[in-house]
Amino acid sequence: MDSRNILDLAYTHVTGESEFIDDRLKFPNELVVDFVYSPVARGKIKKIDFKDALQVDGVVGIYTHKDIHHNAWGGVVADQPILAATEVNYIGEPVVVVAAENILSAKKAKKLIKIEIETSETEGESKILDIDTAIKNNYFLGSPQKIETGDVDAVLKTSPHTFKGVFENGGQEHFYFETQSTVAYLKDGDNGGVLELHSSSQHPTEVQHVVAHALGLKQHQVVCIVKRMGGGFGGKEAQASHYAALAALVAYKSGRPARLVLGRDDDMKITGKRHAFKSFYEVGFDEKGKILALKVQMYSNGGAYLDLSGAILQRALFHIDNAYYIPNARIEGKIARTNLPPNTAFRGFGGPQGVAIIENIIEEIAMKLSKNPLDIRKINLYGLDQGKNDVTIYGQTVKNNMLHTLIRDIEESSEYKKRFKEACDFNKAVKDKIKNKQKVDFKLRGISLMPVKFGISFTATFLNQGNALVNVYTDGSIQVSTGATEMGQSVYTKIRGVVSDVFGIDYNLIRVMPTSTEKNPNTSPTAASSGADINCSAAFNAASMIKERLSDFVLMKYAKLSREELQSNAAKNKWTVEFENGEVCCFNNENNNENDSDSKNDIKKIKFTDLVKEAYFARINLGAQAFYKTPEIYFDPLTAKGQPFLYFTQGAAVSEVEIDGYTGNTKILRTDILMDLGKSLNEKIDKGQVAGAYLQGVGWVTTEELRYSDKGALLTHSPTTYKIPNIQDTPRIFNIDLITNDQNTVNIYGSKAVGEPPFLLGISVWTAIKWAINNFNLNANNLNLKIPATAEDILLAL
Amino acid sequence: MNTNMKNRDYVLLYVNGERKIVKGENIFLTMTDYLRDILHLTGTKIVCAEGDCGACTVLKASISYSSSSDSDSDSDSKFKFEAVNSCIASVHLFDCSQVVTVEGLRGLLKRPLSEKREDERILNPIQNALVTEHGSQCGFCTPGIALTMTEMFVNTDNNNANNDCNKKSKNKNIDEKEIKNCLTGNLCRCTGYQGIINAGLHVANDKNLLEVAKKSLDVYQKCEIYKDLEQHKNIPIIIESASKNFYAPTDIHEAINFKVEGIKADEKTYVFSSATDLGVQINKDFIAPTRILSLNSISNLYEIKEESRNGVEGIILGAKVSLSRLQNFVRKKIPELYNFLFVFASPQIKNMGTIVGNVANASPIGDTLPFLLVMDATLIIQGQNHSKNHEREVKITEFFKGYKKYDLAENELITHIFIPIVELSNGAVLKLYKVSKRKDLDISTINAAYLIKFNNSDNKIEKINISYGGVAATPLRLKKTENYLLGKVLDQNTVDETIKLISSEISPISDVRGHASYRNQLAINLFKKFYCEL
Repeated sequence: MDSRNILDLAYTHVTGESEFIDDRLKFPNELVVDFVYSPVARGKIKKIDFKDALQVDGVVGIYTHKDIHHNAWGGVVADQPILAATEVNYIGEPVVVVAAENILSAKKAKKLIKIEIETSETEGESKILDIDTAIKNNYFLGSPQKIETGDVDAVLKTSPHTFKGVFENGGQEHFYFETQSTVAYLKDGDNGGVLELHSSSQHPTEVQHVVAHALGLKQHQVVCIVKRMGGGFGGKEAQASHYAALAALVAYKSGRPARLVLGRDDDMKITGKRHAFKSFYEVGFDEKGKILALKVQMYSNGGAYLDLSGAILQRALFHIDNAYYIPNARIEGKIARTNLPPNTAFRGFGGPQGVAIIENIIEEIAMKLSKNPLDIRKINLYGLDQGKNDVTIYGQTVKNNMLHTLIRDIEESSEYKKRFKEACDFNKAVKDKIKNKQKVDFKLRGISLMPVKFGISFTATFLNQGNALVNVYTDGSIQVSTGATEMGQSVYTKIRGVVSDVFGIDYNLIRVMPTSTEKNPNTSPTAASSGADINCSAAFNAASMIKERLSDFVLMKYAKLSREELQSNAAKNKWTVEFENGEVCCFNNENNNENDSDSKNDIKKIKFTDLVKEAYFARINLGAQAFYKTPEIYFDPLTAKGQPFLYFTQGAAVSEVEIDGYTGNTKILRTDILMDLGKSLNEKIDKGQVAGAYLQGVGWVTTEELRYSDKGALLTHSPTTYKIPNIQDTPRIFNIDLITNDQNTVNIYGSKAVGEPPFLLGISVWTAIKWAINNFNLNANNLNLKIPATAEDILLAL
Repeated sequence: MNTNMKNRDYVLLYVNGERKIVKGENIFLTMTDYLRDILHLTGTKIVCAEGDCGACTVLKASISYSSSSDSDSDSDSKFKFEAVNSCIASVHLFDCSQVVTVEGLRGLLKRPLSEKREDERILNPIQNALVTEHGSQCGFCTPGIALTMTEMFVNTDNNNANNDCNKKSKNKNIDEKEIKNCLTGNLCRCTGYQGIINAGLHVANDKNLLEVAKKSLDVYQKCEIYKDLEQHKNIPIIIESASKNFYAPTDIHEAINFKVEGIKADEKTYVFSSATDLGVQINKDFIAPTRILSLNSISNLYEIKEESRNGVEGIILGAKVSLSRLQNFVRKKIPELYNFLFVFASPQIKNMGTIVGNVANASPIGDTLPFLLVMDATLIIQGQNHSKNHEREVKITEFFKGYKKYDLAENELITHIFIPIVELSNGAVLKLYKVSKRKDLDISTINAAYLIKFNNSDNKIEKINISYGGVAATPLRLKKTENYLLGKVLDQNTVDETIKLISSEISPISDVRGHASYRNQLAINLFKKFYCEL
């Protein structure tokens, strides 16, 4: 059985059997958890009155901050109350929790809860919603960040060309299909009970920690189980814990099972999003378009609390170079504090925001020099000057650089050159007709080839660890548990494949069990594209430990090696034990030279399932827990230098768009994507990740627009007004391919992570739009196109 | 069973082939809640609760109420399954229908609980292809996708039989375009849709799989079920629960009487035709109807036919005619409308929603309204005058009186729309446009309709009707612009003048779908686009 082509998870999806949180059978005494949240963006809580609400039939309990033991949590720093106590800082901040027998009672009670909040229009006390106002008020979160290399000021002065600009990108709603959901209940135990939670979370360990801390429990009193999520995309990395804590509070206080499932509108209104950024830049370059110096000051809109904003900003800084060598740079960033829901992780984690800035600059340079943007990209690429321009602004060398191969191959396979010329001609013909007042089907076309290089590893080095538990049972069947959570990316399938490879057995003998803090302690979130890297590696280590015990057992029993001989490599090396096709065979290497294939001097060939049984009776330990930590990485925050990434995943995309000049609507005519995923762990799964990530990126740069009222309330809080890509928005032609790269030896089976990098390739649709408008409208020098480029923006730019 | 009973106090439906009698409060549940909470069929998911994502898709097949001869109600005792959004539809709207959920797609095949390997499960070919082509990642949208796609394959044969044009060879009639059109109402956030499209193509391109796929729902084509429902369809339903009054009469006059009683009792009567908008408003707690009138059992509201009215050739259709049936009906008669309806909402909404509902909802941005306005459609309204039922007609151009206000009294119901098509037969050209942030399954930023006819000899404009939606509190006819254009030759200079007039006649507002200036620009541009496309 080829472990790289396993199909498994979707079998229960297509029959509707897959159980998500709200599909769990309700306990007969289960309570509905709901809450009242702040209706204003900023203010002081004067009074909370829930007397009337308590009288509502079916209401079992009403809880405020007073009911919480430690009322503080946070993705990194615990700066956020679980229930607001003295002040509120965004619309949607939970204040009062209602526990009721049914939804109607909860709704009724919510209406009767009165929260008196005093707001102020005084500067310094009034709400702040955007980056500019936050800058003006010096209202920031966390600490400023900076990465510097070379002498940017001096080189900017001597550069043949320089220009300054401002670039903005909007946020993005995750729109995971399953909203934030948790079921929590107390469970009896011999030496005290435990609080068990089923949560739709990418980070069960954090749910465990936040819940324990909030309720004043020890971590061993809380268990969090995650079977699967209906999508995560980063939105359930930090923020699932907050809502899990509200359900836990009710279960703990009432003693009854509690279920919290956010409605779609609430989920969109009150949870964090991808960060909007506003960046001020100055770039210096030569006549050919080679970048000599780059100065950027980024501001991200962090929302009300820190959440993961610090690490996200850092990744944005790290990715300002995308695929390009920048010899002199000073890249700085600050997190604007605003009275919006705390913004959070979202696929790419700041990377897309950083890359968008440099790609916009490249388009601007090309425009100013009247060149094809691809030529600008090519001459700035890493790896041109015999290794001299291989070092990033943070000091890491770009090894195993496939960028040139990727661009060369995709340029050819997509017929980029020919189509670029056709697009130019197309636009010219339309333009001429308009000039001559002829009837015209007003369309314009744009095409863009864009590479991406994305750093793999958590930039917080300590998170790059994981553990796995492998249990082999006496019939040869196996359960594997790791800290990886399954959200559709098929990490369970990849883990299953790795373990099946290690033992050389059919994957049907292996099950990956629901992720639980009970089995895997202190795990990292399934995030940063690293879920498979870390957890497959840990599972590989655990399985290998058992495999070695089984090998030793075979050598003792059948090759008659003594205990002492087993300790010596010299004796052991004479023998080979192979696990293949469900069988284990043992042969002597020395006799093997006679290469009589059939006999091969096997002294023993035994079925894996039989061997396991024998090993059990010989009292061999068939369970193992193992650890993995990513090697080679380090980063010094003081100098902002180091090697934060184990390796880079790279790729390139060519996107061609057609814009309707009358309406501003864009359609994607064709997309070609070429990715370097090392030796892919599972090609079909990985291509699925590429297609999905790309289209999510396309949504971010085109139709997904968040709009807020001047009070700070999200107006686009359902799919009626917030438009994620539809099946009709997919490219008319869509080719996805992988290159062969067997040089990425640092990661499990030579593979590379895939989750986030292709998201950034969606930006190629935006650069194609920008190029199209520029190409069509040559005097659009002040084309300040933002992300997303909505139909309205495009029409106004034309 | 007593089929002569005067009224029933229950709703009758079949879920995955099982007979269900639903009484009391439960008939007001959304179908999704009924499936998930009462029947514990949790494969049907709720994502948006407003019919905008398709995760709640179920297949619905009603028995035929219509005696008219439109092409899609061909056979007398065959169920035609259609994908609908179960999250915005109350259980009572499924009266005399069959429902198939994702659990029912496994049909009557039993999967043994024993040590079956998962890749040996018995699935229908579409389900299987969704697995093998990686059309499912997190799985939350998957049940809806599997059902919608199954419907597509099952119904392709029907389409084929009725529609000769635009179809390729028989077993190749499902292509990428068709798949995309069918799945417009199913969002997926994970896959980028490639695996889903490939799954469809995989089945479509394999003759054997295709044949099996087409029979996916055959297990539900049962005469005894049809007969059972048929025996119930003419029995009115009256349900008085603790908090609500429900009435589903079989006669329009009874319906009016129920409304009149409501006025007397000072209680608002909510009219449920397909309730694709009311369902959303209930879910979002905007309304909580206590007095409900369902039009579901009134058979003459299902008719759609060509008719000559006061000597004018046209189409007449009843209040229960779904947009899908309309779309099929006008495929050859009004191809522009047929094509336009592809960007109207989703198949799921079109299978439930009606054009009369689009009118009665009176949104300034209702997508069929500019069309009806330029066609000079007439509404046929049933009402009660001095305790006597009577019918009156209102021109749609005079119907809308202000934002969500119109010429319809509390004791009246729109029963039919008459759409004159005589101009189209006489050489007039109809053009329909819609602009939205996302092309498909989106509410329009603005929409427009133009009906134009040139004089054959001098090429001057002989007739011109222009209507815009989303540029004022009601959909508008642009009378000044029309008057200006009459008798003119349409050239660049005329266009330049026209767009000035258009701007002067509209007064768009800014909202989340676009700023006023953008809407104004779009109104102008759509006319330019119309001009070039003529």
